[in-house]
Amino acid sequence: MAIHTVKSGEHLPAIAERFGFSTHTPIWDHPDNAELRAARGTAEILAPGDRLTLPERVVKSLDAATGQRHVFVVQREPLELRVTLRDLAGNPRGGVQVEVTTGEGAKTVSTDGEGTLVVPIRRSEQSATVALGETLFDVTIGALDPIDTESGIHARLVNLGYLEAPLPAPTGEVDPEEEAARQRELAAAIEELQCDQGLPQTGALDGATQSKLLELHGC
Amino acid sequence: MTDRVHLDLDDAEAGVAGAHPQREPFRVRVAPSLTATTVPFNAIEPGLFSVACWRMDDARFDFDSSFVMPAAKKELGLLRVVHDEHPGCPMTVFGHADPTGTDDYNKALSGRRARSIHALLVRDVDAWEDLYSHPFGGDQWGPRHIKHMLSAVPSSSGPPYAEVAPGPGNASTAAIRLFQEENGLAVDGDAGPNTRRVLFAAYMDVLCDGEALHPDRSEFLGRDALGGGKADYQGCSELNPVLVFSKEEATRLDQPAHHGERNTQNSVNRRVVIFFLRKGTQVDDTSWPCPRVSEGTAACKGRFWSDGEVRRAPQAERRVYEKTRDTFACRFYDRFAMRSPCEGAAPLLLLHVRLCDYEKEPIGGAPFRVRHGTSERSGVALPDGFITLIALRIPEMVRLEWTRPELAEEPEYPFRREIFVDVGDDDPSDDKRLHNLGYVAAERSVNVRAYQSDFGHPETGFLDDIRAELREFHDGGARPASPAGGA
Repeated sequence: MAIHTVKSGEHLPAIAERFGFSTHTPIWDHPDNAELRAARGTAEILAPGDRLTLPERVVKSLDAATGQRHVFVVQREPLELRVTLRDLAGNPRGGVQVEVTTGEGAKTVSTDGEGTLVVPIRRSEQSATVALGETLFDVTIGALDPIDTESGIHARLVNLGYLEAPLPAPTGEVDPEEEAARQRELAAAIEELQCDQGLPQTGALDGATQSKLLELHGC
Repeated sequence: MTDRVHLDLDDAEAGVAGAHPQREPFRVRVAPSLTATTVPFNAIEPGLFSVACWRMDDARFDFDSSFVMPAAKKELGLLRVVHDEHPGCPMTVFGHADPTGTDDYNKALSGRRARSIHALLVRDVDAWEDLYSHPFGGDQWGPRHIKHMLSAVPSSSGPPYAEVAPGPGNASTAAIRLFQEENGLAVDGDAGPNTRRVLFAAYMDVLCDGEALHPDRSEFLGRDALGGGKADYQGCSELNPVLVFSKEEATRLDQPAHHGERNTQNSVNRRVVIFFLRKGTQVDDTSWPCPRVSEGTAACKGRFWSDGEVRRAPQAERRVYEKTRDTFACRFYDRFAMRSPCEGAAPLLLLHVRLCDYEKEPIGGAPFRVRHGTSERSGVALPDGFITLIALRIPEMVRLEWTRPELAEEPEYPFRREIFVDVGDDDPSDDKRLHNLGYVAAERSVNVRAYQSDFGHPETGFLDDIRAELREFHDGGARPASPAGGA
């Protein structure tokens, strides 16, 4: 059995696709992955550095008579991109036409009453663009890290419009001034969220704020 | 060719303009969904972020007034550059007062200055007439301001009206009569409402250099659609000072004998800032928290930092926003300002660079381009080959290319050099300074001698002999007294 270390931007369905599994379940449900499964909860949201045990693939034998044509269909599990669009005040943008472009081309879809659009995607899909009028979002699929990681918190704050961009993790020697600037920007974003949501304004990501962030973002 | 990078030091003395450090374009990171139960959705909401800014200081307003002085033309030239470079990015104007007086009084005062700037840009003469005919506290427009305008607006013969038809002190009856005559107004020598409207319009055009800077009302964040200037312009009262005195200083300066000094020191707090928001940003009444200029500060306080009152109050030490970043009470405003060069977060660097040919001879009037990342600026060097670069502290190196004036139309410029922007102040930083000024030999002493020769110093080859002057000059300061070798 091989061990696969999850890289940034990788999600389990893509890993299953890459290693030739028709669904993610043989990997996700493997006993050696029980601990990770419990820690992450959601198969679609893994953190870079997570270690997955990849089971041996099962060889399936089928009898087929010679001299005839046989069609074998491999059922791959379906995967979707589900995005909810809201306005600056947090109200859903329901019933709007959105152009979604993936590797398979562009298609126009409408959002439902909650502002949600659903588009089937290939398991290997890594990016898409969502165009709403003149506003264009670059969407990186599978790059959302878990809520209990710093990068996961930043990404959700960016998606909800509280941070302009993910704050780069300090590398090497930490410049105290830069680190202070980073902390200020993060505290401002968190207080702004707390203010909008009627939570006590502390600037710290306490349990209640983290749950609210998860709830607002949807995952 | 423009001269955007070649701005004289004087141009920035009462204001600042600049783009904010760029970050990755708007990118969202999402999880895919195997089922609607595991990942029901990834929410995307736009945010409010500033991409560029402009600041005009107290000195460009008349004392304690919302009247914009003729000298503001310089800073408005900077605004024009930023405006031209950010099409589609809505603007919003913030006025700031100093901490003398009550919050509500200062909110009104700072709101009047913000409104005055907005009106100037969109040529809203009715708003100026409103400011003129409704004085507030010390902000009283009157004959002095009529005279200022008549001293700036050119008459048909060329010179301004107040020069062609002078009068003593603030009196300008003769100049008004001439203005009325030339503009088809009833000639009575009195600057009444009808005359003022025409004079305001003419003066606004002078300040904004005609149509060079004339944004439409729809280019402001509220698009003139939310009533009372909501989101187009607002007063921040005294909530966001860039300088907060220490407790000890505040106690001393609050004594009547020191009010003059207090007022002088506080001038940095009285300013107007325009932020340009991300392209396409649209707000409505609920998504823009700043109250109208006619409203009190209650809504402002709803957006305070959790320790906002502490931030803006005197503490043991004197604090300036540029260094401590903890003087603004309003978190909402702080989020626009914290990475902005206009509130001192990323100081602008000025440096002098000399453009020479392979023989190390300066090229007077050399056309040049400066590149960093994907941005490119161009300009023309002075007759002795010097250029002044203005840059944010962000890029450490920029690429400079130049050519001879007669080859300006060629696509490729033959001379190239990497320029150190943020040289630092350690010993090797002086080698970088010499490098930027065109002394690019490997030996330090050779470069020092060449510098000393060019600037009329004894050729000792010792860096210590020129270090202070070199630093002063390179870092944007005055040119050494007698440069030789110029064109």
